[in-house]
Amino acid sequence: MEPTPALAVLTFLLAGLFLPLYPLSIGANLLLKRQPPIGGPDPLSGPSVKAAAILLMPVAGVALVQLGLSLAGEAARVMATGFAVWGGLSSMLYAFRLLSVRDGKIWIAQLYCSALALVWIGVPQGVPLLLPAVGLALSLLPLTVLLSYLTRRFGIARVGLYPGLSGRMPVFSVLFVAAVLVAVAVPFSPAFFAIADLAFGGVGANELITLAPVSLSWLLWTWAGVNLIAGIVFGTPRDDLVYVDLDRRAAVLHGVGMLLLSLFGIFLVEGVL
Amino acid sequence: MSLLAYSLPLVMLLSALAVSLTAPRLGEGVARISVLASALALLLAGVLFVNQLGAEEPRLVGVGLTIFNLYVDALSTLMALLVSGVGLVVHVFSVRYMQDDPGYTRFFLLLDLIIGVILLMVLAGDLLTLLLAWHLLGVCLYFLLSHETRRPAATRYAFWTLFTHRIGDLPLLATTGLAYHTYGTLSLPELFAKVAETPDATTLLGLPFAETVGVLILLAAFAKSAQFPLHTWLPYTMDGPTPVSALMHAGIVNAGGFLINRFAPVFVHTDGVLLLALAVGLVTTILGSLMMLMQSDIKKALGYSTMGQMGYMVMECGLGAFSLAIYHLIAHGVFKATLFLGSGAIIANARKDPNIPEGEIYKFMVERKVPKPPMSWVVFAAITITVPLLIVFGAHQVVDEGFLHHQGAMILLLFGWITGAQTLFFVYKLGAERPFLVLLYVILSFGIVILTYVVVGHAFDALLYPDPAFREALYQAASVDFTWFLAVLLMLVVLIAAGWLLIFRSAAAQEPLHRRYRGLYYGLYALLSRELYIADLYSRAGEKLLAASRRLNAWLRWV
Repeated sequence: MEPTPALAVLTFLLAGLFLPLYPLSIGANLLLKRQPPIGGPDPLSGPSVKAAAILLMPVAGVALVQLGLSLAGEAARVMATGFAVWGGLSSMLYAFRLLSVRDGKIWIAQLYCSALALVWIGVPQGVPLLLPAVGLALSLLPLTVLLSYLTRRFGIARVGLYPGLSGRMPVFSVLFVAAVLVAVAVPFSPAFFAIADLAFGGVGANELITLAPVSLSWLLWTWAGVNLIAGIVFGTPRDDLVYVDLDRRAAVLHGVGMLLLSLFGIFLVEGVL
Repeated sequence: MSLLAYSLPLVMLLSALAVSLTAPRLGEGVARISVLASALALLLAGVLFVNQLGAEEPRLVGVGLTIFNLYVDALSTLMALLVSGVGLVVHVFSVRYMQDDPGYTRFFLLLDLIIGVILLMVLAGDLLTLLLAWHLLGVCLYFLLSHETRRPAATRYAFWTLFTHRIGDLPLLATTGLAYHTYGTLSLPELFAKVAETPDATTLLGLPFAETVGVLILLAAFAKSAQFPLHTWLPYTMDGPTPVSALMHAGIVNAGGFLINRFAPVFVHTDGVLLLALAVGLVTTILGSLMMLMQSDIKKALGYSTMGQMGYMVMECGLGAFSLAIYHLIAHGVFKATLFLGSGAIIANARKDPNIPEGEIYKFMVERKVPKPPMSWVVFAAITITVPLLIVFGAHQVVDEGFLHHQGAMILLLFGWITGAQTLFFVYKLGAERPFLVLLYVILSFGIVILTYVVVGHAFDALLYPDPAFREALYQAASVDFTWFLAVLLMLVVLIAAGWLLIFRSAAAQEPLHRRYRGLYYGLYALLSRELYIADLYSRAGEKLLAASRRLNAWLRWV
């Protein structure tokens, strides 16, 4: 393929819509935080559409990055470094904003932007991007599903509105805690191994560009995750609400799903390192 | 051997699984599974340790993956023995202590998990497994500390703990990344061999690898071992159940000392890095001990005491006495677990009966009556300053004649001297009716403690670092220019001795220094009683960050 740097930049910018680079990330963010309008159904705000988007957008983004790299020719390294810096800054920006988010939908949308923007830091060193990107995206799925369950039950998934679920919905709470931990890249989440892959691969190109965003974003995700757990699972439950815990089948399904995610994480690290 | 090593963390992890599966049926009966598993873990750790004593070389065992490799050597097996021992004590204690707690089964599940994770951490044979266990340790501790899910204080301080531990994860992540990039391996023994082959390799921004990784490892250790200014999580987590406090203070805070020892083969090639451990450890020791004295709550006082002890442990590493730090953390773990597990009963009993024996101690501690000094202050000052010095010097001389060649040993000798003299000074201040008898008891006890410390310390040296050349190299890595060292040492000795003489003189004249320098004393008291405002500073910084995040989100319209 003939190197055409201008087209490469355009392709990278297009990839920035899916592997979110601020402000190109606004589209992905709007889609993932979309609320159903009052009084009418909205297929785009359903959990299945969001789950599909979470899974497919990174794949599209990685494909576009690969295309961009082949179009860039000799300028690939310089371009990739620039985009890696942009990705790192976007990731840190969204991680910082995540700290004050109380709404479940916005939380998932901003974590998606922060996590997937990190994929860019592996580009300059030629780290295989697909597995880490899919790993980071997959880790968001359990929480997306459980937050939509909360929305169905209480009308909204929001921190601090119905605290103390551990006392009233113990099975749900256990799974919710596990899902938050998976989302914020605690071992054995695929996101943990994805971060490890990106960090180990990325340092080859530039240690600071790689380690600063990975470290800071990862740290802030934990803080935000604890806010979510402390405001929903911990605390004193309200007595004016009706609580219905997850049934056994759904609980087993979620549990097995998260176990499979852990196995995928190990596969991921073995596949890349 | 491979099966034995893997079975250690697996037993505890399987026990956690069994507890969660059988909890609905067995209820509080799950504790039996948990206690049995921890007893089995201790047995296995004992067998592994004895096995390792007979082995000539450390072994790396694996299951054919990049991760989950285990490194079986004297350090890992000794630590596994300590962890499983403390784990069993905490398990047995918790069976009755936690009875009727609504979260009984959850508590045992988490206890099993955390012991399993610590065992995995001490046995880790590759950087990724170490990082994974290092990270999970903080997460498990968070959930154990927020056991009382309805108490905001418990969850708030559990978060402080998690956040500090997460700060400690980041340098280890950076270490892993840099090691993989520089030497192309995650295996710990392979990394150490490659560092020994090419110790001058460079990394981050062209900095030397050994020094960079040394600093990163120290930062990771500082967070886990509550070193100043990352210490606030430790004394503030007393809202967690007492057995968790015991586990935390006897086991988890020791992780820093373990990590520094694990990377001894890297530190041996560093120049000046260990001075950072010495400085931070020294500051932590002094501040932890001072703040301990300001506490009226027994558990919080124990918390700050742990901070001081951890500072001392890190300082020992900073002096090149790596194996002494391991001995220190084991000894501290045993006595601190005992104190924590007994603290609840002491508080409960003291509410009914303070049980303070009548006599000099009662008058001095409760009635605050300063008795007349028992003899001439000049004679007592001479005894105080010379006798401990003779004991620490003689004990070292008996065990290792060449100890004066190690700067680290001389600093430790200085600390031993200060501790002994301080104890003797207390006898003088107490004004006992039979001062010479008390003095004799104190000197005898001090002599036994110092001699044991030195003898066991050397035994640990031979066990953990059998190669004398390696031990010597560690001391050298911690050394500075001898002229400067001697000048600072002599200045310290003169200053300390002068300080004691001043205190003796003012005590004899019944004019305590805190009366003479009232303004300074109250200023210092206020500062220390507010714990140097560090916790307030962190709280304020956290609030500011959250407010800034909210403003930014509003400004960017949440997209």
